[in-house]
Amino acid sequence: MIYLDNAATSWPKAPGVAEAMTAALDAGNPGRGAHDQALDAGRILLRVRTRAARLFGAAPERVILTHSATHGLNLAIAGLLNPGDHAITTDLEHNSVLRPLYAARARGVELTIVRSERGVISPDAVAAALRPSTRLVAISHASNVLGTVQPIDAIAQLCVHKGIHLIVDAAQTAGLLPLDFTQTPIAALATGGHKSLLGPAGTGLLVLGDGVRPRPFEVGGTGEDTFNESMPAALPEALEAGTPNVPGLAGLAASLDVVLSAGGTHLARALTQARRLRDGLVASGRFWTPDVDADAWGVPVVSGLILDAAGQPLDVADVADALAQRGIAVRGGFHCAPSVHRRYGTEESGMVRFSPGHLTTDADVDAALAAVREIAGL
Amino acid sequence: MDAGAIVVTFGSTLDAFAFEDAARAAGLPGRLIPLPTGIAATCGLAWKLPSGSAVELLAAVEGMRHEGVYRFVDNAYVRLDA
Repeated sequence: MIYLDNAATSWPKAPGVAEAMTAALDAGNPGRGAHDQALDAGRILLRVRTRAARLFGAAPERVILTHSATHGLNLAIAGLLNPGDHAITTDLEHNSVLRPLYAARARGVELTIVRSERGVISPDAVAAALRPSTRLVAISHASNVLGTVQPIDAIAQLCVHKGIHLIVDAAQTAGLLPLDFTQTPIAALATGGHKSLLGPAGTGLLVLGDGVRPRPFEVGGTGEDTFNESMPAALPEALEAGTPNVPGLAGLAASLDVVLSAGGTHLARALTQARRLRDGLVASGRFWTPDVDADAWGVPVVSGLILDAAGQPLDVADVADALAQRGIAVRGGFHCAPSVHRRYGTEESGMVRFSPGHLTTDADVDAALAAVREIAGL
Repeated sequence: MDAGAIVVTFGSTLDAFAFEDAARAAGLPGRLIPLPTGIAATCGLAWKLPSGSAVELLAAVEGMRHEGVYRFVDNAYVRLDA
């Protein structure tokens, strides 16, 4: 199989992930008991937090273990907004950001969606949308359809000077691009563990900046403070109700070790292949891709439409299926990003997305290009 | 509980495991145990130093967050850091 769907989930996972997960099936319930199995589970959670804290420059107690980026975004957005507040987001967002904000809007939050230009959100556009009641800005670090990276540092500076929380959806960048809380004043960063962090599905991280304290999104058992009718006061457990996914988190701890030791080399390899793929598709003359700022394109995602001899787009589902029949995994559709498709006029067609990973080879890309040419009738 | 044992309590599960990590690194004796029934604390785990340990040993993990330090004396827990 040639796997070009790493923006959906990475494959293969990092070395050691499967073994760590299997071993953790023998672990107990962390914080619930002090026998060896329960303690082993607690140690696994500590390993994840300390490694994530290193990766993002945050204190371990501010690393909240979630089951997905979406979970973390819900926690941050629902937990920081109140009726009457104003929130800002962008037309590049995934539904993991948009739907929690639409739900907040239904509870009385006012929402502004800032328009991108060539795949990029200008800090000036965010500044122009600010109101006295603006409490939160939520933005993806990189578009999951366009691959464009947003100027988070500038937007963070804008927000911090006005006391506004900046929530960053790092689903497409965590493990690829640096984002350090000691350098950039972010209120919260959410990511899944299963994309470029190379861990298993069902894991995620919400990293909180100093002093940022969302209300609990879920309440329940934590193994602590049993007679308290509310969640315990201390982070991280205050935001972690219920038994965690210990095997998944063991896998994530193993993958974080690999990511930390790789020191950013994953991005360079994946981006090189993505660039080869994009250039080859464009050179075929049978590919349409949104016009984005080339300087902002910075994660290995290439999306667009395959065209027939008459220049008409082929059905993206047919293209994805035809590639799958040739052993090439891509994703066709809307990628949970409705406003990106409205912006580029693909709300009816969708787009085919190719997302190489750090193990994608020249031969993989060459085979994918040959397959596309064949499907396009070249 | 062993007479004379020292027990350290925590405000969160994370603090308990972080303490264990630091204690191992510093060579502090002891282990995590269920929070003794006679002590009120937020976290259900506690660190127990062996009976007869000097409280000064805890200096080895100075700076690690904890809630309280107790010694088990005459069938009761006496707080040492109050």
